[in-house]
Amino acid sequence: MEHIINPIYKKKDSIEKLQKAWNTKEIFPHILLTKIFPQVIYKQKEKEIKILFFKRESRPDRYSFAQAKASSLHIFDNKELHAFLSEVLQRKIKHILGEAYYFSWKDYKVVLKEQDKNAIDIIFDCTEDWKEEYGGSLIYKDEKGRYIKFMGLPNTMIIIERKNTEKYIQYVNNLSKGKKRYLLIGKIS
Amino acid sequence: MNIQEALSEKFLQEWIKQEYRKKEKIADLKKRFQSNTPFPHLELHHFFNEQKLRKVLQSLEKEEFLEKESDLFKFMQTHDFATSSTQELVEFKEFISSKSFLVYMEEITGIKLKDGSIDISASLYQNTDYLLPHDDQREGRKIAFMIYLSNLEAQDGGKLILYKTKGSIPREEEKAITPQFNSFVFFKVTNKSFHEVEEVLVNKQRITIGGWLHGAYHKSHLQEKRQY
Repeated sequence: MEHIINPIYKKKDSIEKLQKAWNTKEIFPHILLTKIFPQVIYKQKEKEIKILFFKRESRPDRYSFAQAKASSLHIFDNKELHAFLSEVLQRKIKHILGEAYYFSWKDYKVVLKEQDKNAIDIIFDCTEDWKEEYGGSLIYKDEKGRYIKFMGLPNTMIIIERKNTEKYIQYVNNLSKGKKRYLLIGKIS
Repeated sequence: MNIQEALSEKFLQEWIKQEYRKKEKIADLKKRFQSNTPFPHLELHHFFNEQKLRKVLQSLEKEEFLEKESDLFKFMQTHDFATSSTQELVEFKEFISSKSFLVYMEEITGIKLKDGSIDISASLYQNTDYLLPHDDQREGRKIAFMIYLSNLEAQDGGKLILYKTKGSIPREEEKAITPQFNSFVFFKVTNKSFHEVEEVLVNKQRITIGGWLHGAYHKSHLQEKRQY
């Protein structure tokens, strides 16, 4: 069977470092894993994501984006990913709920009331050729106004503990010129 | 103070163009305010004394504009004019919060306003700046107002968009107002007053003075405020 996680992250010392990073008492406990998938797998997943059946969703006071079911990608239901995350987060991960999205010019998602603000978000970012000035950053903000921002990156996984933070996706502006920001957004409750 | 007394006040005569102080005009504005859709509003061109408004614009050059950014907006804004050390801005706030101006606004809108209770500041939108759809509902706000201090073309972006709602959910754009120097735009703040400032698409500055006129605050008015 083909391995989907970059072998470098599965080494014992890497796992220990990631466990340590996860347990650090940060304001926004998170881990950012660049090159999470081997390049061949990433390119294959990237291609599959782009041909998903995306449907536009809009409610002007809340959001505007394109959304697709992500189950056919077999990323969030991948046993190897579950085992990897279980080791890093030191808890049994059996299930990740998630969807695929893309954000292009004029898209956004404001802070919405969420049921489970203590979940762990698992984000797979497969955005190519993106600049911070385009907007579209994924932002987590706490009640004191402190925030952490994730701009578009290719082949990157973000694991972040919500801890009652608010989440939003910045408006994508006209500088993005036809580009799309692809994200798989999943959650462990 | 009634509308006749308000119209005879020096402040009003100095600041509002004569055309807008005529009895018949006021009666017409009153009708148009109520009948305009998607929610009661007016867009009045060449409203203020132009010379005085240009001085206000000049005085804004001395003001500090601070970056404002959240999930809903990105633009720059001054502090409330009440804290300004510039005489023209303090005087402008005094005029907007004066009894005579509030009586004038009450006459047009039919909304009871609270004496001297206003918020007023200036905003600057540049390329890529925006304000996403929202209803402006917050404690005591009765009328939202904007005074445009720059000219934009429709293709420049930066238009004020008014949304048609179904229930209290914004559905589609119904009206777009392109900023023109010395236009005075105001609308009734309700749970249906969804509007946005469209992203500015060019390297032009969109400068406005804006704020809210306040009235009595009833908690029930805000029941549907951002409950998500």
